[in-house]
Formats: sequence, C-alpha cells, structure tokens
Amino acid sequence: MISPTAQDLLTGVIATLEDVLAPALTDENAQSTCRTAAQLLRSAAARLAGEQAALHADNADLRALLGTWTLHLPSTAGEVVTQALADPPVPTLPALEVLEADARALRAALVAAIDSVPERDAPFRHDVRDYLARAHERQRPWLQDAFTGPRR
Amino acid sequence: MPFALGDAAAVSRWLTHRAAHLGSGIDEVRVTDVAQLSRGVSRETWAVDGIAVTVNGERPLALAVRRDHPAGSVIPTALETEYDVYRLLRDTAVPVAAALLYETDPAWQPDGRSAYLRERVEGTWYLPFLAGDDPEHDALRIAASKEHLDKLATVHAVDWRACGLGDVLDVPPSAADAAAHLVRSTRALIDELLDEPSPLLAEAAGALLERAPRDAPDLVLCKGTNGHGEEVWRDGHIVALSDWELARIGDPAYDLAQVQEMVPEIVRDGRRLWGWPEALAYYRERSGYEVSLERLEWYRSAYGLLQLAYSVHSGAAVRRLGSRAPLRFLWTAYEITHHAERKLAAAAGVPA
Repeated sequence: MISPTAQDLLTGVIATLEDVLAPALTDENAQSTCRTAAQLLRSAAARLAGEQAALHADNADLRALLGTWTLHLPSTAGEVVTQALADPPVPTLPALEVLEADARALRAALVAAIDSVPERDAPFRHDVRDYLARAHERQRPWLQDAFTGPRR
Repeated sequence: MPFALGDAAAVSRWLTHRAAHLGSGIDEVRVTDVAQLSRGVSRETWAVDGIAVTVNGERPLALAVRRDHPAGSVIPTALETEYDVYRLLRDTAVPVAAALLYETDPAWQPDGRSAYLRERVEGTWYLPFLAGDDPEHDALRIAASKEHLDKLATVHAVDWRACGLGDVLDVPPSAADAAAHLVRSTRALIDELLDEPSPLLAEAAGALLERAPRDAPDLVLCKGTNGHGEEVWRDGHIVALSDWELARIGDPAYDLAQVQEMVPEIVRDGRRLWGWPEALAYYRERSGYEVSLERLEWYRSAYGLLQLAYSVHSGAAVRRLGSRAPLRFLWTAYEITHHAERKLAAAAGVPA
C-alpha cells in the first residue's frame, strides 16, 4: 500500500488534535497538551520529508569545508579530520517519491501480466503469489506489528 | 435556511412541516431530544424523540435520522439507495423500521445535507447470553440462532422484482453468475476508487473467479451485514432488521457467510448440539434453499473484496479532502485496507 502515506497519517492526526480533540476538552492543560502534540507532529512530518536530503547536503557541505582546510590545520586536528573524511557513505536509496513512482509503474505492469495469465497454476502465477508474500513481509512492521493498541 | 440537526426547536419546525409523512392527523411535532448515536461509523445516525400533536391528543414519536458525514460516507452505497431499500421493504414480511421521508429540499435539509427519516423501533441490539459458554444459555443461544435464520429466510423470500428492488440494486445476469458477478462488479468498483495498481487485488480476483460457485439456487434479496449488533431484538424476536448498507440481489449464501456470532458452535459431552451444519439444515427447512458449506466458504473468502471496496472508498475521500478528512476515514483507508488485503491474500492462496 502506498496511499495513505505516512505524511497523510500525520496530517490527519494533527488536524484531529487541533480541530476535534482540543476544542472538545474542558481541561486547559489537556487542551494545551493537544496543541503541543500537534506542534511536535508538524515538526516530525517536516523532518521526515526533509531530513534525509538535508543531512546529505549538510554532510557534503562539511566535507567541502573540512577538505579545504585539512592541510592548514594543526597536525592532531588534521589527523582527526582526515579520518572523518575517509570513506564517505555511498547513497544507496533513491528518494521516496522516486521509489513510489517506480512502484506504481511496476505494479501496473504486474496487474496487466496477471490479467493476461488466467491459469492460476501457471508458474508465473505461483511466482506472483510468492512475491506478494514477500511484499507483505516488507510492510509488516508498520501495517501489522504496529497495530498493538485498541483501535476505537 | 440551513438548520443544525442538533437544534431541537429547528428540528421541530422541520418535522411539523413534514408532518404528513409521519402519520395521519398530525398538526404539530414538538421535539424533546435530538442526539447523535455512537454506534456505527459509515454514516451518522441521530435519535429524535418528540411528541406528535393531533386533534385527538398527543402521542410520543421515536424517530431516527440517517445521513452521510460531512465528508461523505465510508461505504460506496448511496444514502438514497439505503432509504429506498427500507421504503420498498415496508409492505413486505421483512421487519424493518418504516422509512418516512428522504429530504431533498435544500431549505429543509439539516445542515444543508441530504438526510432520511425513519421510525425508531424499540428494542436492543445486545444479546448478553451469546458470549461465553455457559450450558445454561445453550437453549437461548440456539433459539436466537433459529430466530435469526428465520428472518434471513424471510428476507430471501421477498419478491424483489415485484416490490421494485431490482430497480435500485444491481442484479446479476443469472443465479449461476451471482458469485462471478460479485467479484467482477466489486473489482471494477475498487479499480475506480484506487489511485494505485493492486497486484494483490488482481491475483485474488482471479483466484475467486476460478473457484466461483455456479450452483446458487436462485437470485434473492440479500441483506449483507447481519447478525449480532445489527438487528433490533425484543422479547426473543427480531423486531427490526437494520444495516442494509451491503444489500444486494444475489445468492443466499452471501448473507449466511456474513452472519455475525449468531451460529454458535455448541458441543456438550462430545455431541454437537448446534453449529453450521445444523444451522444450514434448519435454514434449508425454513427457506427451501440449499446452501453448502463449500459455497458458504467461498462467500466468506470473498468478503475481503467487500471490505476493500469500502476501505478504498474512504481512501478516495481522504485524497479529496486532505487535512479536512475525518480521522475515522483515514483510519479505515489505512488499517482496514490492510485487514482486507490480508483476507484477499488468503483467498488468493498467498503463502502466509
């Protein structure tokens, strides 16, 4: 499942805290706590959306800065800097939006393929079902295991 | 001018204006209490209590107002279709609350939204003896099970063509096609509502079609959601069948597969006193319709499609409304979609 996204969930919870729960509470402290909770969730949503790219850019900025000055620093500091600059991490994952667009295209292709092979016992259909099991396992942490509490 | 459904004085004016729909001889309606009920999430249900003033005196009024949430409905069935089912069943043997009015005049729609009015039938949805395994309750539980099956048989006996239900509900091409039609039509609806491709839906729909039974005995009116928590009971009998949101014309097995808690498995001293084989035999005796355990199991395995239809319908509302979407719609689109997908995975034979 791509949609609703994690950002959709955060947007919905923030609006519920501010527009539904806070106005219905009579205790001022509880109302205030709702507003604080919404505030923190707004930050969490923004952080989820931008932290990875910001940290990547920030690290690159730091590498450029340190790289410029390594040879001009006292030797003990220079050694620490040289060590930190060694073996920069290689970015391995595309951005979430890129992955989601890729998923939509791939899944649409799979739907067309499934519909073109009506024989359930065809080897392709067996492989599809095995893939679907793996797909569920990948999402299990947030789609199944996280639902531990009463839901209403 | 729009009025709030919670405003008793305004609701009094509305119901007085529509008094002819509430019964003969009513000159005025005085509403004493209006309150939204908390049971059910797909639509809003409000209880309206009041007094009908007639030339012969006063009598109490107990009414219910049904309408969509401001965001719409969780389920894809139109509000007017739900009203039409109640309206068309009124002159049949099926016990239902009488549908009185579907308000389409913007000047009289509470909060500017379509709503319908029906009688509120006195009784309870709760049967405390169903839970647990106390042998003292065995007879009660079996009696309640038979009563429920009797009422399903009554629903399935309705001449849906004659009373016009074929004009408001989708009709499969034939009884033999009922199961396959359920899969195709529900998949088509889901595909319209989804904003992403679903290989799981394609695989499950294919698996269900391959196994779709073709031995439905007849096309009957089906209630859909039924059982404990959905019907109104009084003195050991169902006095009103409620919740017709998933009603359709189809195989009676569709209803039996959705029975909630009303067929308990009762085994005493190694002997089964009641369970599904006994219930199906009893149902056959009362209705004349044979429902095999195999056909029942197929409809149970297809339930994930129905659940996915309303969960992605909620998802469509969430996309449309963004941050204004009620949290309950967002939750339905999220957690309930997951539960529906688990059922579809089982129907498709996806390894667990």
